[in-house]
Amino acid sequence: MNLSFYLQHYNYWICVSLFMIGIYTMIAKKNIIKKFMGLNIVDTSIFLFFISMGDKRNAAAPILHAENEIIVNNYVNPLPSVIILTAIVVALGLTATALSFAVKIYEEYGTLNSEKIERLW
Amino acid sequence: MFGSSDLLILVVLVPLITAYFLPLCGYIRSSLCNLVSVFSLSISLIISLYLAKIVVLEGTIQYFTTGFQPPFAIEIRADQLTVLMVLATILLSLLTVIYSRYFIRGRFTEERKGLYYALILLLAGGLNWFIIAADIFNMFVGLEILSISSYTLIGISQKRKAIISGFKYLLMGAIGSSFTLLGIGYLYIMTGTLNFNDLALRIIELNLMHSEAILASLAFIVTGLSIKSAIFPLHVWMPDAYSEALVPICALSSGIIVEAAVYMLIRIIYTVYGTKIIMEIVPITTIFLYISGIAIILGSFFAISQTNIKRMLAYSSVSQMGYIILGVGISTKLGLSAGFLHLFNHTIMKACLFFAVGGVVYRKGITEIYEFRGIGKKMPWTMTFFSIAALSIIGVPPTNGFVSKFLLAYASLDAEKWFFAIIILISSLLNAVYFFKIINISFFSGKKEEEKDIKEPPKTILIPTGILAILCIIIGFAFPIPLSMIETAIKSLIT
Repeated sequence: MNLSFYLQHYNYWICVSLFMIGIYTMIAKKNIIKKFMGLNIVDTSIFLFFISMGDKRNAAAPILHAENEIIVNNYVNPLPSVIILTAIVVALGLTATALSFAVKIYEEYGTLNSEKIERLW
Repeated sequence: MFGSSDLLILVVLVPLITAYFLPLCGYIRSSLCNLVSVFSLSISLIISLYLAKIVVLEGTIQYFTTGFQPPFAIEIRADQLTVLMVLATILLSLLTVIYSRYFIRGRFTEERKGLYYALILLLAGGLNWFIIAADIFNMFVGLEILSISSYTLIGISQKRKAIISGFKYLLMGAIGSSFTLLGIGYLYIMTGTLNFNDLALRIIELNLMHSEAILASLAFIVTGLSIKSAIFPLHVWMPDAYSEALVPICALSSGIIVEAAVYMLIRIIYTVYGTKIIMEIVPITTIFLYISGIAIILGSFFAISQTNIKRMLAYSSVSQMGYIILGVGISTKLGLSAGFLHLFNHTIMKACLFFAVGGVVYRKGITEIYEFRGIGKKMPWTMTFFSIAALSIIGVPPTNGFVSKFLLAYASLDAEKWFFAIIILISSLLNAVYFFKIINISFFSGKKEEEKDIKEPPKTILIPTGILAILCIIIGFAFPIPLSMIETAIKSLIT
């Protein structure tokens, strides 16, 4: 495990830092919408993690041209992308639910600041 | 052509498809919604009873979606434990829908009623999907369906605070889901497969027992599902959520959602990772053992100090979840089956308690414990059912709670962990403290005010409560039936 091993896998470092930024945003920011943005950053970092694990250097999208000559190394792994397509839809549903909560909170409390809401609670 | 394995997918499809028609029903005629949901869930109940019969007689059912063999196809499977979970889910959802008929009257506008029932059916379908999945990503999708519908159901109550508690639950739950998805990613990157059995094989084949990535995936999945199942240090969302939500939703959530999550957690750590990883390499069962000890005692103490009955029942749930993971902690076959038996018993007892409290809420709108003064004389049936379920949670024979607590204590003595048998005894005493307080207040100390208009809640509220209370006693005698089903499933789980 030398330094170049870690440097070559920089894509995972990006995922990890995005994940941390997202978690930090969820904890530290007081605005509810910003908390949800942090949630979306966390989700996006996981999506990037999945996509980058399925990728290969100099590989094409896995569309089959000729059935008798398939070289696996020429195509990226399609399964993570498919999984992430589903996970994106799930995250979309979650964000929609979260934002509708934000609308209801603003209607009831007149603010989106979570500290002020705690005081009004 | 239409074999018994095809029926398995119907327990998911029937509630999910009905859920999409219910908002339409709500626009046409809102009184129709309840009947349609009851009808749909009754069909699911019949299907799941038939499935249970087939599984008991013929063994595990498998179903592959695309016609390929696994691991290439998406697989769903049902063994005896799964079938019991499906039965519990469907039964509790059906009772909740019947219960809601009068309970939500006046709380929602006519058009919204359809949406309420649609969410309950989505929840039932998502739960079944989550339970029968034999594929870790499908498990995640089922988890998300049930989570999103439960966030909304918690927040849907007309109270002002409910929105905030739903929002808190959403933030915690979303972090849990993200952790689970990340854990799935780690598993996939190392093994290249998603099927439970295939994952277990590949981990051994590729010699990944000591790989850090696999251990990281274990950590992420255990943390994620522990948040969903409110295991002790991660339970903080639960009392807030329950104190504001509608009572039927509390019953459903406390009765089956957290149970399903803990069931899946146990299934994943035993089938995917296997006993070698979770006992020797990372001593996760030992960690669960100590966490369960703390959860049982602290949950009971928190419950004693509450004044709101719904918060009290929520903390009692924290303590009862401790019993279930104590079964994992003991990690013998007997301990695990006792834990699972307690899981099903807790479903029945806690749902009955919440339903009975809901009957009082429906008539008087009170949730503070001291206001229960004299309720037992006005609503004898409701409070009798409450008392039966409370005695069952305390562990008084001949109820079902006694059987599973006794088996847990016996298993911990059998595994030479006698300290936890003492904890079970102490916790039973603590449970008695807070439940006898309510029984005492409601039956024996009532002459403060004379309100004439308080009477029993309507039959649609009383009958589901009664069914659950009677089940408490029936299972106290007939416990060998679920226990033998659980033991058969656990033989294949622990190898």
